[in-house]
Amino acid sequence: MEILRLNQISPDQVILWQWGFVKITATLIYTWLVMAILVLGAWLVTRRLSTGPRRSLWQGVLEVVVISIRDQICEICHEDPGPYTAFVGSLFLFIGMSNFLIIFPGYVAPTSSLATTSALAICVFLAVPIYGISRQGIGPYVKEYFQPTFIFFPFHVMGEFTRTLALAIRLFGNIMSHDKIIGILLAVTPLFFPIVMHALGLLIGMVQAYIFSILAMVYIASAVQAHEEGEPANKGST
Amino acid sequence: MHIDPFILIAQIINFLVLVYLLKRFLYDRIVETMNIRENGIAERMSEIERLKDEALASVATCEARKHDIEEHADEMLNQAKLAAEKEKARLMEQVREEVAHAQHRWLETLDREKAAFLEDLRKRAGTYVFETIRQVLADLADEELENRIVQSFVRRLSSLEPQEKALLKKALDMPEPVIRVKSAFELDQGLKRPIEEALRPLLGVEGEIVYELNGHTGAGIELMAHGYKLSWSIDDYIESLQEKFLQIL
Repeated sequence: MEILRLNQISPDQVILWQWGFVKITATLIYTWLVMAILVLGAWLVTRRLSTGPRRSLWQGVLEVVVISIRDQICEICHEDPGPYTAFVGSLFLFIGMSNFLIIFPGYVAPTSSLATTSALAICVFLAVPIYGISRQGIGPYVKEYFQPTFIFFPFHVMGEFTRTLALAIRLFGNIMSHDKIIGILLAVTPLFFPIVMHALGLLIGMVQAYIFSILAMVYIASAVQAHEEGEPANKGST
Repeated sequence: MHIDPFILIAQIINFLVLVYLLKRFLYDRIVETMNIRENGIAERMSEIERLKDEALASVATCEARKHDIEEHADEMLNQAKLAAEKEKARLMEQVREEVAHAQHRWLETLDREKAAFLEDLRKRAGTYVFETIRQVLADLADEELENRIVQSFVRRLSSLEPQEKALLKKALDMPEPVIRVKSAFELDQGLKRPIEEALRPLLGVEGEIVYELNGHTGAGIELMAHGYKLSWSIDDYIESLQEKFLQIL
């Protein structure tokens, strides 16, 4: 009995087209699908926006989503969420939509690919110093790595890498394991159990999207606010 | 687990593209829209606050005015009563004057009408009295009265003033003079004779005396000779009396 199909382990293994180094895998296809849904949906809704008190249902939904994202960012960084909204919000929407679409049969979440989660983690890894340097300047930012003494420098650097790795692995592990758990449980439980597991998978997917984006914001905020607070920011990873 | 570097780089690029597209088509537009709406709401709220302040100020003004009115209500009421009393007195006086004036005019008119009525009554009474006198005299006219009338006429002829007599003579100074004697009653020979005896000396032999019966002369005799007229009639006395009566009225 086949417990897991190949694409249920990782969509990276499903190569649809290849030309030397360049290959089109299921991961990329599903990523573009998610991107298309998000961008087209946003474009369709925001074509005709109402500035009055009366607005369409979808405009209301998007406003709620954007406001919620900005509120969450604001709660973490206690400042104008404007510069971070696009990055952190896109993380949440992309991961959330990727995980939401698992309710459709045949769809495999791109976030169940370690390459995807690693790519997102690398983006966060790069965004943290970019935001930090743009706010504090390169000197004060680098100086934070030597606080409280220069001995802590390697630990800081190690912390940066490990938390990035943790981000990638956490998301990948949760989503991939969900598919794997479904496959295993299907072997021992019949009928309705996959439905329950899909519901659970939706919950896990949303929670993971929230965790990933919140952690990314926490890292960025710590880099931005370290100098202002005059003490090392919380650089621990969950 | 193996990570394909191409997929990794492609996903990084995909995500950055997604960030750009969502920033362009979602966040910027939604945030801008919400800012516009918030500004509109803030403007409306400030407008509402301003209107509320104005309303509160108006209420305070009205309250102060009401309080002021309540404080001065009795005084204003008394003033209003006094003014009303004065106005009432003035209007009563005016009405009284108008009534007195109207009464005066009415009395004047009444007096005029009364005087006119009495005047008319007097005239009518006088007229009826003289009509009655004429009627009585006409009814009482008989031969004796006619004889008296002729005698009175003859006596008058005889006692003419020299001037009148000269005028009569002048009127009769022509080849065949004619004297017309008009009377209201028929003159018999007995009555004609004294008349002829009185006229003949004035008329001469060639003159002719013509007798005519004329009802218009009343109870009397009238003599006409070429422009000269001499008459004696009871009506003359009555008309003279009537003229004097009217003059007295």
